[in-house]
Amino acid sequence: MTTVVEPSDQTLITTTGRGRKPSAGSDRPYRTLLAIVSAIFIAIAILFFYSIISKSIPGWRQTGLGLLYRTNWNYGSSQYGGLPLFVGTALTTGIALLLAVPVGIGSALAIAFLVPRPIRLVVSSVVELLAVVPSVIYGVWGLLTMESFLNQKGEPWLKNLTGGHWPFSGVPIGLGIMLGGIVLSVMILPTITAISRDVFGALPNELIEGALSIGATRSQVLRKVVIPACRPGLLGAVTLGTGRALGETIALYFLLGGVPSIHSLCNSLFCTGGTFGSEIAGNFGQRNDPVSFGILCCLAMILMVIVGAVNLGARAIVRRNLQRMLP
Amino acid sequence: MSTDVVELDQEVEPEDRRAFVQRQSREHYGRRVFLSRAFLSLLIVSLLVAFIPLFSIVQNVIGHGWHFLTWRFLSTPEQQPDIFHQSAIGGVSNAITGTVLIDGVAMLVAVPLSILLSMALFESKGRLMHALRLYTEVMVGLPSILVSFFVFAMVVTPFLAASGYYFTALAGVISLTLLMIPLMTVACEAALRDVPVTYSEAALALGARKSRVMMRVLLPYAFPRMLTGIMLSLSRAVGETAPILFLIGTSLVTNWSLWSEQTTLPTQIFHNLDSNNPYLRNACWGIALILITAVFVLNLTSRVIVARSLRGRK
Repeated sequence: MTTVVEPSDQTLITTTGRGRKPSAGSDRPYRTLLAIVSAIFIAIAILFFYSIISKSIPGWRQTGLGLLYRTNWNYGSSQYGGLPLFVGTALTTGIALLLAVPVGIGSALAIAFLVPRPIRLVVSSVVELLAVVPSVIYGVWGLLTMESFLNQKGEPWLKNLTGGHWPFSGVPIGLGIMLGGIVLSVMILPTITAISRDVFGALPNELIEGALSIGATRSQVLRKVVIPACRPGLLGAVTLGTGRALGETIALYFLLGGVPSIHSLCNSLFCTGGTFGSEIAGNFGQRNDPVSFGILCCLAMILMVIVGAVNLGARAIVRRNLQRMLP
Repeated sequence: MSTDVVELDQEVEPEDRRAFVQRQSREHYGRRVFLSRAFLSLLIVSLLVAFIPLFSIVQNVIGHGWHFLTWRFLSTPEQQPDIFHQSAIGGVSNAITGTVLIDGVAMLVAVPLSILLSMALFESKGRLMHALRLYTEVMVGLPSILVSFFVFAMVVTPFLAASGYYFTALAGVISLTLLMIPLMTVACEAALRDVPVTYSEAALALGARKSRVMMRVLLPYAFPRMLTGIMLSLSRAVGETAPILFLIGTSLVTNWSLWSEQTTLPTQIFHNLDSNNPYLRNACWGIALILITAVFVLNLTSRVIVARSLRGRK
């Protein structure tokens, strides 16, 4: 970013005394560079959507809209009914949210208001380390540790507890929707905790002090002031966690037990299943034929639409909340 | 409670009123304290519950994985065991070189590009750039396997596979670069926005051009945060399996070529876990220990950097 000083410029006597002419024109290389970079990335963004949508056309032609409502999925023998995948995705994400939301928001409250200030950063960093554990390691942990635990202790216990009624009917084999949901809940826990903690941290102190000054106990402050005031932000945190759960591929491929990818609608939480992500991960090997690749692109497109919508929703919620909280 | 209020509204002597309030607070005190403590201990319990999975993962990875940390395991490449020698699984040197090669090259490409992109997003206004920012932010949350579709459809099929390269490290590098750029860009732009606006206003008032303000004021101030964001993104990218798994193939020899097949630590874990051989499955713990150590070191170092550099400010 050095300025080339024209000989004619040196004759100009300016107040800076150095003979440089401050001109808007000399910013041009900088602006051009930034414009080129932006143009490249706009092109990449367009190509990204174009590639997935255009490659999915042979797939949609093969399946029709049956991909959205038929109930039998057998990738090997060309039966493409995607409803079991919708159900598998919804059930695993549902279990994950059921477990991770109370624990995540509770621990965020504890970190923000109960843990002493000197160790607060350490505690939150430790919880957030879960976010950087690679998903394939969650696969290892789920398959080699949690699977035998659920198989031998957890699922029989749940079955006895409920008397084998729905949704805990069927044979507890370890692998399946239940295992996937539990591991998924661990994976989204740090997302929920970290964002909720930030939301709590952004709350104006006056609200809390005001409640304390009229005699509220600490738990009343948290339950009746902090949580209602932060509700939109917490909703955003949960939505981002949902987005992460919906899009998980590698870990669920190992944990759902859907390796020969034949799925029908499952009627209990113990049965094996598949999600859009796990099916893509399991069948990406058959990508050299345009139709098979097209089917995978259809799944990818559905995944992209769902997760994209969830993320945009979360973004809107968080942004609106921030605008309301900041004057 | 409402009946108490009515009672208070009637004409009462001040002494009676004081006694009334004291009696009320004595009666409710125990219940209020109990409820409060119960709720607070529930929160502490949930914090402890949140520690359990991390503890279990670390305990299992170290417990099952530490005896793999031998020089032989680290320095020999992977072997494909045959039926009669199921325990002959070799080591991880091919995966370590593959990880260093792919992540290193991807980072070398991604860091300058994402700093430039974050500068562009920071400087500009307008509908098109708003759309670009939206795309960048949404890309952070989209499943990483989508990048692999994009690279396969737009790079591998038309160019690489056409000249006979079905699996290349190059495709993995492109995929990881595209994955890292949104992460790094969002972090770098946040770092630039974090600079107090008075700094750049002062520089502009002195007659500095925008490019000079960026180089001399904004970038130096934002540098520690940018570095943190870059390292956090790297720690996420090192562990990614989905975007490279189907692009880079497997390599059983240690090599440094971008045009050959490669194995990285996450893809080796994936293939080992996917096989039926118990020795290969068990070796997952050893590879996981190496990978998790690398990722945690990157993550914690960046946290220390940001804590150090922010101590002087505010």
